[in-house]
Amino acid sequence: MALKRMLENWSRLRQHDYYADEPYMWGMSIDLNKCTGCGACVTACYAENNLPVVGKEHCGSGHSMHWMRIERFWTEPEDNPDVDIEEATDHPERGAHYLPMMCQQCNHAPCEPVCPVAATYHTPDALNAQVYNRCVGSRYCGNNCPFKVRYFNFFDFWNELPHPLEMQLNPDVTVRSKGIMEKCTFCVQRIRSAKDAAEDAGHHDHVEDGTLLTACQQSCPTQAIVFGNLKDEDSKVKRGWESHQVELEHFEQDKSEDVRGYRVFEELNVEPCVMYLDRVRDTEA
Amino acid sequence: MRQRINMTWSSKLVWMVLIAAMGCLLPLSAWADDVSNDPQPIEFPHDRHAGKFKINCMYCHTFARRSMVAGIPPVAKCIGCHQHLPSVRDKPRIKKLFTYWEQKKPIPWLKVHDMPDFVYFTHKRHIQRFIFKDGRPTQQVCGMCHGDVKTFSVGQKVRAMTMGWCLSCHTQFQGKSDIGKPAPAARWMIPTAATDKPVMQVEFPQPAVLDPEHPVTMKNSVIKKMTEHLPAKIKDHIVHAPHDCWQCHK
Repeated sequence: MALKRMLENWSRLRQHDYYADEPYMWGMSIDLNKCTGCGACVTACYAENNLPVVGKEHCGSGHSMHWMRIERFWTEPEDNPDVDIEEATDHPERGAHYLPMMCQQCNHAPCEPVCPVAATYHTPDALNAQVYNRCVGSRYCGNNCPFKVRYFNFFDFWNELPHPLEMQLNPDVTVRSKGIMEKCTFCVQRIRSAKDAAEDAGHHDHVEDGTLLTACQQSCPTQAIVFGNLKDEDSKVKRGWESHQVELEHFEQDKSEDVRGYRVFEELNVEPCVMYLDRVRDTEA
Repeated sequence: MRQRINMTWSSKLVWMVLIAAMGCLLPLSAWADDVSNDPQPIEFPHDRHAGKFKINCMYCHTFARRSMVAGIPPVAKCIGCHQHLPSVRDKPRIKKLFTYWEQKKPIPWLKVHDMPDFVYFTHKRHIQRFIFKDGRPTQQVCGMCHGDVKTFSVGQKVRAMTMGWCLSCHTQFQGKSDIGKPAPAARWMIPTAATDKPVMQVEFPQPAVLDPEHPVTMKNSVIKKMTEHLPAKIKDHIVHAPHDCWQCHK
């Protein structure tokens, strides 16, 4: 019975126009041509969202807590005629390719239907919410996530914090305790305060594009990350999605050769809200 | 061989009384869960300031109208008035206040209303709505959650401040301006939306996602449909209650 109800509910939530008349749909676009892999976004995310630095040993045991990570890919020497395989090392001179990876805020999120307590669900503004106080730590969501961007608190990492350091915690964000799942929230605390400020300024249901920056976007030295409202026709992120011909509800984008936009694992039809712009390399140089 | 415990009727009675007494005390301790029982550094007389002298709450709690938190005034604020009040200068509490001032130390007040981290509550929205938009008296508005502060000495937690208590306003009364009028969207909020009962009577709230009759969150169009037949006067006063967990939890 419960399964039947869940499936019914799930199919209704997947109607593509379910939240069509909501004023917001938060989306992102990341230009990999601009990304230098410096890691400023990761650092900013740690500072903004009260993430614990767990150290090398915990990372080795899979307890890492970075909501945002820089994925690094090397061009394989055999594919690259410039590099002699004999001389190839673990860190070739060139060929590194960086991809910042955080929660993709899927519209058809695989993590949502598997949660036994509905701690993760879809908000009307197209965010993939994680309600910490409802989470019981079953870790189904993390196992069902194709991007592996959900992180589980195996320990109370903040307990050992020496005295003055607890003052650096962001008061707007929960300090998560042991036994719950967490992930990138698109800086929901900033979204809420931006909406609050818009309400004060008298714009109901309209946050001006550019007034709201996520922590990673704010700190990106090359401005590779653009964040905004996809329902707003004039927003920078919407124009980016349009000019690179990436559309929601399409898992195979039908587009011309010279645009670079794509979404990670589009073929899984999870409908991510993050678009990446592919890196273009000069292979002759 | 195990020795059999010989329990007389009188000893049984003593145990029963003890257990009953503990049962009575348990709810009290649960009520006062996050409030420290230690005395405040200075027994601040709210009854003098807010009651007798009718100082506006927001004269000291300055940030309530423009921030999430209401704020505790700095010592300088106390001194700003009290240096001109020589009549009470020799009272022990004022002496203690001036000691903090001379030592240039903040008063280590204990927090009375300490919400858990995962609760997002903003004073600003409530103050802007009820005081500045509706034009209600400040003490009445603050008193909705903080009780009749003008009769207190030190601050006390007089309301439960649980989620169900928040919802009891947001789902049923829609703010006091709508009391007695039909509640248009009594089921705006989850998880109690999964049942038809008023929030306080829901014994085991089920996650709304499991109930096909009630979607996880309610669409704006549905809310519009539910409220469009209402007269404009009531519609303007409807609290735009969040219908989404992440409005208040994060």
